[in-house]
Amino acid sequence: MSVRDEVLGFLVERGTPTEVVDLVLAALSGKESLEETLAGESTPRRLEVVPDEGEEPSEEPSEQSVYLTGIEVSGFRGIGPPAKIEFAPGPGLTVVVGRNGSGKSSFSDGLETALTGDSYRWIGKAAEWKNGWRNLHQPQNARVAATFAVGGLKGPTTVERTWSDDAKTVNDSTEWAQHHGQKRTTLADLGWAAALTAHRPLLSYAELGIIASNPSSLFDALAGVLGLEEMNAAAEALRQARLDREALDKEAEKRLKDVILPQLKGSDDPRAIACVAALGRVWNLAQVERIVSAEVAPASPGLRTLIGLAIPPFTEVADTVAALRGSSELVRGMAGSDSSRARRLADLLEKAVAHHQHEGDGRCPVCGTGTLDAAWREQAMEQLNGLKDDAKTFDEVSALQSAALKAARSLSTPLSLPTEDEGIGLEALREAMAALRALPEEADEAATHLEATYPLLEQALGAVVSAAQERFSALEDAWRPLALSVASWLEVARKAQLANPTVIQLKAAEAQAKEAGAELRSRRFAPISQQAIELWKLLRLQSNVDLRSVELTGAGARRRVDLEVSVDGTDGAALGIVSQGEVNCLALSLFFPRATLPQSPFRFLLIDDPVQAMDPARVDGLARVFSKMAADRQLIVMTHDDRLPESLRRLGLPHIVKEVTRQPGSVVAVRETTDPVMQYFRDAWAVAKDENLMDGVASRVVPGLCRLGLEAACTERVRRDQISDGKSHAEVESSLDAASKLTELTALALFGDASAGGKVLPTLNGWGRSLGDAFRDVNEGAHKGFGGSLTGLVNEAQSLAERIRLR
Amino acid sequence: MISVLLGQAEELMSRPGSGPDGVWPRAAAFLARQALEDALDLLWQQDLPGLEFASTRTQLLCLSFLAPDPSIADDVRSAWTTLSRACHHHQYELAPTAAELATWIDQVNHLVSELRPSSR
Repeated sequence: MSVRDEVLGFLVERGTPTEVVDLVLAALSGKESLEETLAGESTPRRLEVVPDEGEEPSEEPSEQSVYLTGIEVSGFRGIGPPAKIEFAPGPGLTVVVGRNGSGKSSFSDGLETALTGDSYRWIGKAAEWKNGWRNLHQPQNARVAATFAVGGLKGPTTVERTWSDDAKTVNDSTEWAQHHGQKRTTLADLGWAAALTAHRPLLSYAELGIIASNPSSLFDALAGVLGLEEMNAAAEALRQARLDREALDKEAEKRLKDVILPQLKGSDDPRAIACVAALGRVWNLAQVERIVSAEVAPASPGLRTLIGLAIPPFTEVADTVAALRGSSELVRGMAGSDSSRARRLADLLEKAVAHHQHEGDGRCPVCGTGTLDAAWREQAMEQLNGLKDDAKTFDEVSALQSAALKAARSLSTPLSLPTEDEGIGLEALREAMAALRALPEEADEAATHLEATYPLLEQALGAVVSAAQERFSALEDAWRPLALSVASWLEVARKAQLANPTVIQLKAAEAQAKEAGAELRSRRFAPISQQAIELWKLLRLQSNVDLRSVELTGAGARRRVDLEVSVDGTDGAALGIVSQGEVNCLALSLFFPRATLPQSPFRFLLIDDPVQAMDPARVDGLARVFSKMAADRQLIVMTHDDRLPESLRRLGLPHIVKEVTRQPGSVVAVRETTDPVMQYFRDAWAVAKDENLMDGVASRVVPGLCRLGLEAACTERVRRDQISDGKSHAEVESSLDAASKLTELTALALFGDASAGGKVLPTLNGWGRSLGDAFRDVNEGAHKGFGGSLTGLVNEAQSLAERIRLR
Repeated sequence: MISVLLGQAEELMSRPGSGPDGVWPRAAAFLARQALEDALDLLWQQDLPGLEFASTRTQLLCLSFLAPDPSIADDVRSAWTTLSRACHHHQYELAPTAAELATWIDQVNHLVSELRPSSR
């Protein structure tokens, strides 16, 4: 099942809301697809997944199978002239032994450097350490090469890395890779890089030590094989998307606080004040938008009134003046006319009629002689009617003048002023208005007054309006940039506000992605953990430390590997009480499964010196584990002493031993020495037959080598017999240490009693006289040399050794 | 003869291919130890004839009483013991390294000249 399907199944099963599931799936496809989904542009592909129970995630086994066939090194670390170590491709255990400094680690470092361009040995080391990669005796022609047998390909695949003679650092190298008979390519083209990191077919003692030192690097080393990088990347994409959006909010707030509010507060424009009010703890962005987009009345209404002040134009005044003057002229022209006399007489008669109506008949109050009575009244009324007709012209002229005067009066109060002066001086205008208002009653005078004062008012008003206009534009000029600034902030603020619900969803999605990641991790780690616990059971032997569970926990800086161990049945013990040897075994238990997962293309695994700090009993456990692993892996173990080979020999576990020796001048040689007893005799034979040796050397060296062979045979027999008798390693060791002479050692081997030396020679003579003689000659000749036939001596001694070890 | 043995030991060590592959560490140790033993024999033949037939352990014990400078006796014993260890099969131990052998051969060279009868 792919990570994606597994995550989907997990999230659906626990009832995660659809939108959140979509976000997690989108994030699994990458940052871009997440942003598209957030923008509503796409919905991630979903499969109909029925959450199933108990099915293990199946992981594709690698199609490649890569075996190591050789490592060639020159001018690199402990190796000067070219040296080569070869391995048979295919499963099996090869032990490479060599004293510290023999050059064996130069082979493993050479392989690592060929494959990765660097070595664990140098990572994190100071520069002076890193400089030690060149060989002291041969600082030129630095070269490492490794050959592999790749399943399905004919002939070897070679990876080579060389350094120019002036290259300073180990990283400054040139590499190429080539399948036999194909074109040269690069290491990257082999496609091994990811597997090299995830399954790392090279383990060094230093690397094993990280288990105790750095829980997070151990976590990384183990989590790398689980193939959950995309899960981590998805959680990170979700986090980043959330941070981006939270940053919008933060940015809007910061800009408001740092820029917008100080600007608004520095202005006395009422709109600015209204904006500040709308941007309190809760932002009323709609209100702010209305204000800045000028939908609200701008500036002060008083100022607008002032600007809008207007009076009738002077032409209107001029008309009234003309009417005044015209009516006045007519009135004057009527003086003495019949019409005006008729008007005056009619007025008199009307008053007399009114008087008669009040007073009744009587003497005329005007002449004092006539009598006012009904007859007079009738005659007067008749006369009045005639007079009214005669006064019509005069009445019309009078009406004309009244109208003109009325118009003049109206023009004298053309304006009402607002109460607020908005900072604009209105005194001159008020004075002009007062002057205009003092209009004389008489038409001619009124005309003159209007003519004189109206233009003064016009002038004063003009001054006020333009001052108001000026002030208005000043206010607008100040507001416009402020409005722009607020408007641009509004955009950011709106985006931030829009993003708020997304942030909440992203948070949920991130949490879900992390939980899904942890779940997948523990599901996928389970088989590794199980294997580690099983391996530890084989490795621990007499250790009282029991490994209960291994878990990858935590995240980020707190990620670690939880090793739950119990000591003598007590749970919850810390790693601190575990010995270094046990720590290394634990680490091996964890790294083995990682390196041998079926999806790794590498069928080889090289382990550098795992036996350090291990007691002999645990070496037996290790030997069994190695042998078990070697059933279907090519396992190469480097070690600095004979403990592991001895254990393998004694336990009868199939293996091959290669011995690395280094002569002065960094001349390194490798030879196969699987059976040390036979090896001594082979050496003795080779020396006895070597014609290049100087005279006297062979006769002095061969008996010693034969004695070494007899000693090795005795030691092997003692160890095998006593351990199968149930003696502890420590007991066997001390009895071997006590038997320092060949005779004592042989007695220990033959009779289980080092003090029974007296029985040795008779027993050997009983096997055959020549064997007893050989025993004596070897023992004496080791000091004095041997004068007889060297090849004969080697043959007899070898037969004796075979007899002693019962083979 | 003594100097020949030491010369052969050095020769084995320093020239790749001067003997069968991988035998040289043990072979050189044997030669160096025999050079030291021969030097002792020579000393006894001159000063205390007969002692050369005693065991090496006895010879080393006598040397600490008979040598003019007791510190030489200590050095000889320590060099011989170290070389002997390389000349026997010891559990888990591999053959000595070139560097170890070079030091030991230097020591033996020095001790042999100290033990030379004519030098006293």
